[in-house]
Amino acid sequence: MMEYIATIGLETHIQLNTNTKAFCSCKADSWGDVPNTNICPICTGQPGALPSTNQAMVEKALMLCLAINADINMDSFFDRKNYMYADLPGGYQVTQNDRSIGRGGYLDFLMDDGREVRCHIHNLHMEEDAGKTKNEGDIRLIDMNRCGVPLVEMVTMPDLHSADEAATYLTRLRQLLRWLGISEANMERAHLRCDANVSISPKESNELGKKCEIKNINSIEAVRTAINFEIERQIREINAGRKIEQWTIEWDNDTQELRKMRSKETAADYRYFREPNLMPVHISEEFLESVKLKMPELPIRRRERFINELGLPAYDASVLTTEREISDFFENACKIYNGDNKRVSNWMMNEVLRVMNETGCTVSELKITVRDLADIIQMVDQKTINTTTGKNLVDMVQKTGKRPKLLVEEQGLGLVSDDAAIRDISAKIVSSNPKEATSYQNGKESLIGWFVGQVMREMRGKADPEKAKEILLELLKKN
Amino acid sequence: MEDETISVEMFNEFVQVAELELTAEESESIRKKMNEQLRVIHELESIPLDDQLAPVIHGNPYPRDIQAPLREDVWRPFANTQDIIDQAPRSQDGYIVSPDVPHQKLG
Amino acid sequence: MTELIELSAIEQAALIREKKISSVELLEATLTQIEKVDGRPGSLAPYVEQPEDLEKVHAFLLITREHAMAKAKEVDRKISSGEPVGPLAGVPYSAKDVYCTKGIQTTAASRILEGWKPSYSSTVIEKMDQADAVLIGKVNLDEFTFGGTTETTAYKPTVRNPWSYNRVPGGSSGGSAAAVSSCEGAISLGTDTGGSIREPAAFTGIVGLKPTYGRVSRYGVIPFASSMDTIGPLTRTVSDSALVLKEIAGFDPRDNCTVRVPVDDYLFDLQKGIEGMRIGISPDYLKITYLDDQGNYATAPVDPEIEASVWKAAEVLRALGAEIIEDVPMSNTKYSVPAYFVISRIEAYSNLQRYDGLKYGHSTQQSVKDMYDLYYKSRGEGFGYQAKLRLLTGMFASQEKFYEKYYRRAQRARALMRRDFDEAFDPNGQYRLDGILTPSTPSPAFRFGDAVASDSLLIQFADQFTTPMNFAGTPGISFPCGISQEGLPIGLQITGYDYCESKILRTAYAYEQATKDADWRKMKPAALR
Repeated sequence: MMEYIATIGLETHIQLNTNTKAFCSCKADSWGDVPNTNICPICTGQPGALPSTNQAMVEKALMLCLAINADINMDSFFDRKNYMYADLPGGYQVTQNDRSIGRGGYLDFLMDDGREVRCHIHNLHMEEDAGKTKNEGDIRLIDMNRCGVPLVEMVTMPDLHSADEAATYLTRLRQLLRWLGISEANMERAHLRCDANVSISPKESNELGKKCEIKNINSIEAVRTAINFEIERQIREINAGRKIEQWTIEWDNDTQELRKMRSKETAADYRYFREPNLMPVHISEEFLESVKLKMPELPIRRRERFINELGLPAYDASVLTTEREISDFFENACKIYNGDNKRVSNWMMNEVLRVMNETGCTVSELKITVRDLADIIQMVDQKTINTTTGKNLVDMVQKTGKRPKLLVEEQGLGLVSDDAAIRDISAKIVSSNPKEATSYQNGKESLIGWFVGQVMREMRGKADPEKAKEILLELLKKN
Repeated sequence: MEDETISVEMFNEFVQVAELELTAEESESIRKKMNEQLRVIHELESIPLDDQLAPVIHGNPYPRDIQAPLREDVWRPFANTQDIIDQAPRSQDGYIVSPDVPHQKLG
Repeated sequence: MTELIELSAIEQAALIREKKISSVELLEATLTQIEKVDGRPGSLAPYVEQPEDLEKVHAFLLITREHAMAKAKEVDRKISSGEPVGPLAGVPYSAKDVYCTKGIQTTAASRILEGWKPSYSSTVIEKMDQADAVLIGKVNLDEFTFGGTTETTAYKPTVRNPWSYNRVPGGSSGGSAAAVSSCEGAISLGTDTGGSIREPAAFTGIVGLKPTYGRVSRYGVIPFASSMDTIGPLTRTVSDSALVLKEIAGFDPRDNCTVRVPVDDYLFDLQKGIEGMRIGISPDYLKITYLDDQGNYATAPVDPEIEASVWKAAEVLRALGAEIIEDVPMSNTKYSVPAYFVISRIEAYSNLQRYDGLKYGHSTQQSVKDMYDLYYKSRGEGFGYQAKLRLLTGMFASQEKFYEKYYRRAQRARALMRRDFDEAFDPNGQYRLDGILTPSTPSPAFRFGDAVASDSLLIQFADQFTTPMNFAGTPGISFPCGISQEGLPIGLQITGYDYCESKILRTAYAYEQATKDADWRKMKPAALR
């Protein structure tokens, strides 16, 4: 059977986390609001109402342009995209057609197998969101709360070649958006939505097949599934001797199926023209500079720095740059700890991220501070506590909000390095386990670990294991 | 002047996309009018336009110092949201009601 | 004393402020006048013409009696308790029914908005309220302002010209013009996208001011073509227009196209006179230019009485100290016809897309098979002929395949015709004008039906001298300058440069004062006789 290669381009709609909507002063985020309560004459298309452009939308779109190395149009225009639908109260969507805020650029990302992929961006434009509709029997219920929410639409070039690459691109994009602080990028809440253009061609041919557009894919898993479904469908069609037609397909997440949209909904002619109610968006040099100053170090850059300057392994650097807050936490802890960065990385990945996972909290919700983490590692280093106690301390700090040193003091978690105490217990253990002592003396030296464990258990972890081992070696030799 | 009369088929297609039911008389008369008006539209082609002429959105220029600034991102809730919904010919539980839009399933 | 209702807004406001009359008293006098001359209001019900309809003005679609009374009483209370009041305190005014008025029916004279009560008021209505003017009602217009005669309204009977009931009042602000000219309020707010304030003002012998685009907020005014729509007053005196403009002009954060240019004291400036002002006359505004059957530009003279009145007015202005500059070329103006046509139709089409039978207004009562069918039927029933024609023409012209050929080209032609204005008004240029004097219309008011039936070029191109200002964005004022032999008002226009409303108001005012004792000024519309 013929082998096929898929070519995929993604159009992502990114909901910006501004306070207000794109063109009116309603709240941008209506999550949990009663339907049609976060609306006004402007976003509901009341006759006579006029839009006015939200500065924060422009600022956040500009940050994304800078982050993906796009060319910035210092003067961009809003256009009307004309079509009628129940969720579009104005009868047209205000968007940017041929002169959008950003053009070109790229997003680099690593696949799990270490392969680096560069996905070029075609353009990046600002626009308003449509409302929500839901079916109820044979009627459709319209909620306009989401109408006018500011979006950035980012369109890639057809640079992706598998559902996996598409999913990874989205994961990286989501990371970037959160990193920049311009979108919550929560796909379940549709802050990040994706349409995928999918086509296939025989592996040996350069000729692209006709593409189909899958709309409304609302999770990274769904992107993977829907694209795979569509690739399989296209292969089936071709193998059955049929032609691929240029369809618009809707992904229904509830039923996990693809549905063809009515041709009317895909009418090609949107009759774009300039929105006469809005001035062009001019980006002054001052404005651009002020936005540049707000730009954080980007994750890909920081990852390199973690490898090259902090000496982290690539894997650690990747994990510690998935979220900006985690990354900042780690780096600040390194500064305070001022020692082996890899050691901080281990504690970060093994303990702090574990606690976040277990409790489901975010970095900002952590009770453990950067200073706490550095203190704990230092206490372990100085043998004030042992490693197990250190690990437990992370949980205790998170639970109580108390500082680690205080907890060690209050609960007497400090290591017993008093020779006499350890010697007493060790002697007791040796004498009450004559069989094991004999085995050891007969050459089964690995049993030393077992003896140390017994001592540690007896002393509820407070003994310095190094000390205990030293004493045990001495006692066992004597016999 | 190129021949670009609006045929009955083309016209009917516009009417469909425009979502505009017309009576037979309206169709006939409006199509005829539109074809007459094409003459006016075609005048555009004979206007001598030099390369210096950039397209404009408005007649009067908008120097930056008099232009409206971008809107500050400050939430100002609209007080009469219910008045908006009350105007809808059909509503239910705070939603505006529309007849459904049928879909076709892909096998 | 002249009857209260015949006084200017400024005079009415002065009497109220001086407690010589009350606001309620003036309101009642105005409502009585409406009862006397207006006849039945326009309605969507099937229209059967009654003999008495032919002798009435029919300017109003709705009288907001209770709102008006409440406001008048509030003004009277403020005045009696010594509280400060606005400059238009107690003055009754009407608004073209495209101004959104919170909780009050707003129709755009279209069935598609049947029953709609806006949830908000337009900025200008709010400003008039702050000036303490009293809104007495909403007046008729061409459906969505699409027309120049007020005959395209869905609300019948339509407005009749108060000077001669068998003539159109002009349009699209026909109701505003008729109301003011028959003293049903001294002020009406109109809109002007191609002459819709100035043409009806000329046809009914009153003053109509179209400000610079962006001078007055459009927020809350139902649009025709958004890049050209302007908001302005229709009044009987130039000073009234100056006062109203001062109250409604200015930057509005809700209209992105308004500008941060200081608002002049137009009323005060009127006294400065026109000594030394340079007023141009252009041959391109003394003839109709059109394409003949062979596709060549041809010209036709305007009505001789109209042309004569231009030269007569020029003499008056010259005598007042203005310099008259003849032969100012405005030769690119003719290109504004196709370019204006394309842009206005495209914008109008798009602006009509929101009327869908779901959110407000008319929704079909027929059974429908799906959402699209609801659109199809509701819009088919709701829009009138002219709205349908413009919508479809706009759809045709805005097809993506024609984007460069029509839309972009029209935008560039717009820049070209704008050059004429830039050169004429350039303070360092050859002409250095302060204003250009033109006819407002090529002929006086014509008969009902002629806009469609007549092939007179003067009727077909009734808006040729007014649309260029909408296209260029510049201001224009139409003011009365005589009565034709047939007894119909003649209007002249002064057009000026961006934000120079003060100068054109001054010119019109100087003319008005210089001719205040002219015989023709003593003639009154039929409705007042």
